[in-house]
Amino acid sequence: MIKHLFKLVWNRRRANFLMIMAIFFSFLVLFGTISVLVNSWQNYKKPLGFEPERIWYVNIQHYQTPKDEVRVISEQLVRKLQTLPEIEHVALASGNAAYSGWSNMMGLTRGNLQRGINNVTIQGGDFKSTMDLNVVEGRWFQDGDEFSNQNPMVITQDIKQFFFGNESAAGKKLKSGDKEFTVIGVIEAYRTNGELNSDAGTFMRVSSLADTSRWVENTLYLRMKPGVTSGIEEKLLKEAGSVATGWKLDVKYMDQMRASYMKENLTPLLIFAIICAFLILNVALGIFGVLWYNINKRYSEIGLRRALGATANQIYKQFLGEILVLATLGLVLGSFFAIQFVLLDVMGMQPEVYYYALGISIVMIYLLVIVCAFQPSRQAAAIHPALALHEE
Amino acid sequence: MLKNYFKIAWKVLLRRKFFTFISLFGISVTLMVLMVITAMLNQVFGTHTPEKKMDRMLFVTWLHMTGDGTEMNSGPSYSFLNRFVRPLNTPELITIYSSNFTTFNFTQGSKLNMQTRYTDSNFWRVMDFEFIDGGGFGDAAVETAQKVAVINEATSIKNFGTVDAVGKTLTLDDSNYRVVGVVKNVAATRTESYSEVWVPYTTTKADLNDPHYGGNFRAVLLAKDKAAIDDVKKEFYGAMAKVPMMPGEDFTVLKVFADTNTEGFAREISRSVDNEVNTALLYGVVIGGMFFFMLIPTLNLVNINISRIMERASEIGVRKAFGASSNTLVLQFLFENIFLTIIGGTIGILLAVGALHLINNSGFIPYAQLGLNVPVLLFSLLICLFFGILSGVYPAYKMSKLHPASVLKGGSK
Repeated sequence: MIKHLFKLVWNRRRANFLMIMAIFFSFLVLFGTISVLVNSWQNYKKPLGFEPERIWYVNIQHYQTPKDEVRVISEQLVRKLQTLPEIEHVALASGNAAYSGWSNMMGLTRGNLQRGINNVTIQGGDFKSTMDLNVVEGRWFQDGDEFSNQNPMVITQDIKQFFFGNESAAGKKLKSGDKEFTVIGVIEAYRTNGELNSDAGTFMRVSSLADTSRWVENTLYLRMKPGVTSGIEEKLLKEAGSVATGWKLDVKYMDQMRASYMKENLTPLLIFAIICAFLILNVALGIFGVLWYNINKRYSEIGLRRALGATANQIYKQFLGEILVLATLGLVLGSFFAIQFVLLDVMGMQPEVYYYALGISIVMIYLLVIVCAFQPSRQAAAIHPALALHEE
Repeated sequence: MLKNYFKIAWKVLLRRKFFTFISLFGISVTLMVLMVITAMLNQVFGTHTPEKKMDRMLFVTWLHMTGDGTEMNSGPSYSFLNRFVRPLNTPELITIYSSNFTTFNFTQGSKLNMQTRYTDSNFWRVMDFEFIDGGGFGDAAVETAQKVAVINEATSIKNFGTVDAVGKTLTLDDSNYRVVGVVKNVAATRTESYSEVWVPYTTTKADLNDPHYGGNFRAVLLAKDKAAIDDVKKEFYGAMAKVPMMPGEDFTVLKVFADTNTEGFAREISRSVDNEVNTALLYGVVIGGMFFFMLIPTLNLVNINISRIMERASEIGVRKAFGASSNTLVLQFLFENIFLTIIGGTIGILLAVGALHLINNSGFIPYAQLGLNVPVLLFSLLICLFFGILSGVYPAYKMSKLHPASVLKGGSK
């Protein structure tokens, strides 16, 4: 049966070649689009590690204030903000938060293992409560850690997995250049590239504002009490201005930063998906039209088969079978190229993403051709042998 | 003759409405997408306000320093540009201005955010903004650090409710500026000129004398003419090679680039640190992408055309029997196909106008003014012809090969 179908397809190879090419190219487009969608979806499902609601992200510009004064005033500013009734928690840290567009990468090594990791420095306040981080192993920083010669650090779960596998990480060492850090705790996650992008992992460390060898961090993270609106901003800036005269505080609301990040990242995905859908629809209509025409042309052939005793069901199966053979040929060719993409890792995603995408695309193409072939094949099956042969 | 072709083409289109629909659908939506992409590319890279002299401009926006395992990427600082770029001789004009900062004011209890650039007075000579009212600030205003501002239309309306704002006072952070000019909105995709407020750089609170090389400024070098671009580049890279490293820092290599608009874009994607960036790859990707995108609808059209044309086998047989040559038939079929693509193209243009309108109003790109202009329309006409010929040639060739005797007998295999 299958051999016979291949023969039928081969006999009309010229006409079928174009159909196979159309299926081949639409498969490639579908595969590419679905890979991107699956990748984003997988990223989206992973925990973000912090809670962006009610966070105000404040960048400070010190202008020409002398460096020593900046240290003193920053300390006073954090303390002042902690006393305000609208604010739940305050932290002073480096500005490389999610949605900010900043990153600060540092290479960490352990033996042969090496990885570039995002690096957050905390310089004041309570960063854990402000960002609502979840400690899963060991402990969070405590007073005195900023002066410890052990260089304590907290890492995210994926970094722990990378360096230590399933062993416990607390107390172990990681190196960056000549400097040695001690892991004291592990947090679930702290994804600074946003929920739709993959993440390199993060480690956090503390430093003291009094330590003049370190740069002064210039970002405040404020966790506002529920119900506090942006109307309070003017008052807050006045309170801050009473301590930090002449500085500029640039307030951004993290939920708004998140919304515009989502918009910026989802729009291209949506455009991709729409263009892909259009191309697929185009191909589907084309396949439908060509099949319909072919069946009209093979009227007498069908009539003859019916007259020789083939049932309507057999005719139906023949036509469906032919198109499935065509689709399979297109898919084999397409999968060959798609697998090259995976092996060369052109798009830089996890291998499992490609396998999902490959599976989904193959199923979708088969469904598509079956739907397109359904009506024309039924029409073919309904041909009455007497009429068809009479016409001949 | 041509009139007959039209008549036949029209009748054929009406004969199989479903096929006609599939063809027109494919052509028009494909063209719509290509036109929207072209309009966007034109908005980002095209030569129009404010960068009317785009072909003479070189942009200095990226400073790259490496040494001892560390790497720093940022914009150049004001002092760096002032010390090493300002003294160049070959450019006709040099402007130094900042990237966008967010400034705000509180009016009636609500917060207004405004993108603000600190610029010199040459900025208004290098860029050609369309002023609705007033004009740019001059050398004297910059030298004496006068608090004057040029604002765009939208900011004027948000702050004052009118575009007639010259002479009014605008509060930026805690300072009061006098408005001296109102310009038409510039789309945010014009990354080198876009802003909402422009003020003299001397009014910034930041330390302009900070000797560090990294900062938030950028420069545009305007060559005397298009041919002089290479001379400017040569002098620029010659001067940059002699820049001493900043004492007290670990960096050993410093790279700064002067790129045309397209080169700058290619560099941003490739992160290339060579003086000459390869734009051919960028063009290749764009053109290849468009071609690949057109490939599927074209294949589809070829498929459909073959079906349609074989249906007309007996007509072709008769025409051949009465002496029509293969060439005549091929030409006729190509004509019909181009006729079809032009109808599809017209629908595509209408769809594109709608889509662009939608994008402009969505506010996704601040101040986007995407539109179809002559180059975009000409380009789409070209695509139409390409489409029509490409999808018509193979079926027409196949048709002209039909043997009249066998066709007229009835078997069209």
